[in-house]
Amino acid sequence: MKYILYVTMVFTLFSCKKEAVETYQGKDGVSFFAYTYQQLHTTATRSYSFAFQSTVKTRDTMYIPLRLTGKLSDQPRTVLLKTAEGTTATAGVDFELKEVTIPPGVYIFNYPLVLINSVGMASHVYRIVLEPAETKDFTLGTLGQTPATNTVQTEENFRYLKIDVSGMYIRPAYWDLLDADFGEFSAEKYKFMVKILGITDFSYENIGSDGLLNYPVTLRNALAAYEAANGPLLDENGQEISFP
Amino acid sequence: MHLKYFLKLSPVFILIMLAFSACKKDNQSFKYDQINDIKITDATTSFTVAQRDSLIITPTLTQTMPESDSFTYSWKLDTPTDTTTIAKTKNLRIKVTLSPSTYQVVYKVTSKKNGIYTLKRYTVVVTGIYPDGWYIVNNKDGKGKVSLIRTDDVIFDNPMEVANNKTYPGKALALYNFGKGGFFYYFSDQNVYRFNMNDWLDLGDKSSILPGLATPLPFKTAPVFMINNLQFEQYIVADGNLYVGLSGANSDNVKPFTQRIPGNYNLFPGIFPADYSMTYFYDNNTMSFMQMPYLSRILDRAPATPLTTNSFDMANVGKKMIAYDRGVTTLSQEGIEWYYIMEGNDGRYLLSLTGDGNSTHPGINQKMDSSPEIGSATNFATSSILKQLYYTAGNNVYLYDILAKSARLIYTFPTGYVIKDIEMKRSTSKQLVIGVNNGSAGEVYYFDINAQGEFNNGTYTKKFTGFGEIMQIAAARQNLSM
Repeated sequence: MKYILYVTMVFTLFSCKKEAVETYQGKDGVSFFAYTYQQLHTTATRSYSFAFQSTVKTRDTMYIPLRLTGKLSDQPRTVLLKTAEGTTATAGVDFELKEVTIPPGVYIFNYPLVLINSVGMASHVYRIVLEPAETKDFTLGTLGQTPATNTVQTEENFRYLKIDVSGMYIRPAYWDLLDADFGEFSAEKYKFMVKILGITDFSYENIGSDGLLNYPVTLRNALAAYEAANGPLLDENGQEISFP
Repeated sequence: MHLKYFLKLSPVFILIMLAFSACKKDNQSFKYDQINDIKITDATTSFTVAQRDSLIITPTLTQTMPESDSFTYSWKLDTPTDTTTIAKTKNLRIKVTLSPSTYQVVYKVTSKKNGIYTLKRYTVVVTGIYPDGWYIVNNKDGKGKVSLIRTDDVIFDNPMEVANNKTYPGKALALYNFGKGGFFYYFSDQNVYRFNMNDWLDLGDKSSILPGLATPLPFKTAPVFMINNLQFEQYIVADGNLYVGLSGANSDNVKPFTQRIPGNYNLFPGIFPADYSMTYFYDNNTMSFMQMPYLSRILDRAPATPLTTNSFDMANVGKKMIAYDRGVTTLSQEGIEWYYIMEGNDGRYLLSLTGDGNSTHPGINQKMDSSPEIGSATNFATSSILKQLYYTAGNNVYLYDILAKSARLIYTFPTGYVIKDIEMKRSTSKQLVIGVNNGSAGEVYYFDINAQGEFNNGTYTKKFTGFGEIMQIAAARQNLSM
């Protein structure tokens, strides 16, 4: 009897206990990040050409969105990208990858990839395939798509990002959206567009829907004026340039 | 021995003591005080006020113990994005600076004595300062202006100058407001301006609207502006040339117009949104219709349409366009029917385009015989409910019966008056508004239309004077998308 009472009292004292909430345990991760509509997923290629810049550049920086998975930190952390299989560009010659510090509390971050206008760029298109490298703070992050909600678009974490870089007039990836309104890409057409419109980036993000619709009108008028004075404008393949 | 018993019983003793201390008798001796019960007893909780007018709300408070209490007051906006306190007085008395919309306002009366408060929610509808009526585009002493006759017959002589505290040089040509997009355009012979349709605030001029104008100023003829049925596109035809720009639900979405759309054409100043995707134009060089789908910047010849009796081929009309007006009009399918006055080799004709939301086709093509002065007629307005058309020549107003193919004189202004513009009140087709110039003095007349299409009692119902030389009458419309 005595012992039952003692045991009951002891149990009474310890009967309630605060339950700990399970939290993610493990090393935080990092991956490439894009909204699906941007088509920057695993199979898509981003492109950059020194020929498309408004001024002659020896180096330029391409910003690559990364997303962190795991816990936010109140301390600065470091992230690093490395090259993966398929890379034809040479580190240190055509591009530079550096360990970069991420500010505290940040979960989406633009990694600065430094591109170098090397001698080879004038006649080559180099490919850089990137993936997140293991650092003291991060491993490879969680991959996959997040379905769209009413307020958030479908977004994607992915492991490999392909970038084509050159000093030549290579057809930019964004031209897919321009085909219908601007017609086929050619280096001479691009130069004509830069001359008439005074801009070098014709991506939809830069020119908007009104640029997509209205710039071809300006170009058709300018081309008509050019042709009236000089005859047809030919591209690098001898084809007559036109805007649909 | 005693100690042994004590140790044996001690747990029982502790439990009993704990049980005693666990419960304590509560005397339940609360002290009750009467509080002042405040009620806001207004029957009217909804107010409509024009922007920049005064909003006055004087709530009625009833109290059960008024002598012993005093209050603080607050009036707060209650919108998802704005909960600003707009006043801290018993009565609300403010000049409304909010944009036109519907707002919830929460009135809070708090007792200083005990902090108990009472709430009341009011609905406030803020309308544009110049909501509806007629714009009178006129020139006085060599300077253009747009006057407004509001539906309550209050005349605003020059609201654009008052609202913007600046002058608008040049001769007034035209104004276009389609109750869409939150804005309207005003053309002088020197410039084009965009205004907020609610408060007439200036939203920009030619440099931001039409930077690629292909012809030198001044405009030779009054340009026209139109928004397409889907509200995606805006069109301007100025001195025969077409310009296109993206539109949107409000003026923030509006983008500059293109340069001149390339092509060999000389458009009549008229723009005809037909079905949802297509907008038509008329080329007086080739005397044929042209077309442009939405989100395109290519102006093409309209395809040939099969010729049937009393109809026409859109690709080869063979007549010169003189004037146009809408026929049947609904909110969602605005341009479902268009009437055209055309000049043929042997006189004037009435043609029409008609159709549903998806396709458009030629309608009638009839010579306007038995129509006095039709060859010199300058203004036309069609009814949207009767197969009738009004036209004017000099100081005479004629009513043309489309089915009977004949016209009769229904009104004559005094000698020396020249009719400058006539406009049908499109929402009812029961009011014809006529702008008349007597020399350089403009007058505006409202005529009510009876079931036969004639003027009630054979005369006008309202007359407004004091305008300069009238150039155009245009409907003032509220923004339908709001």
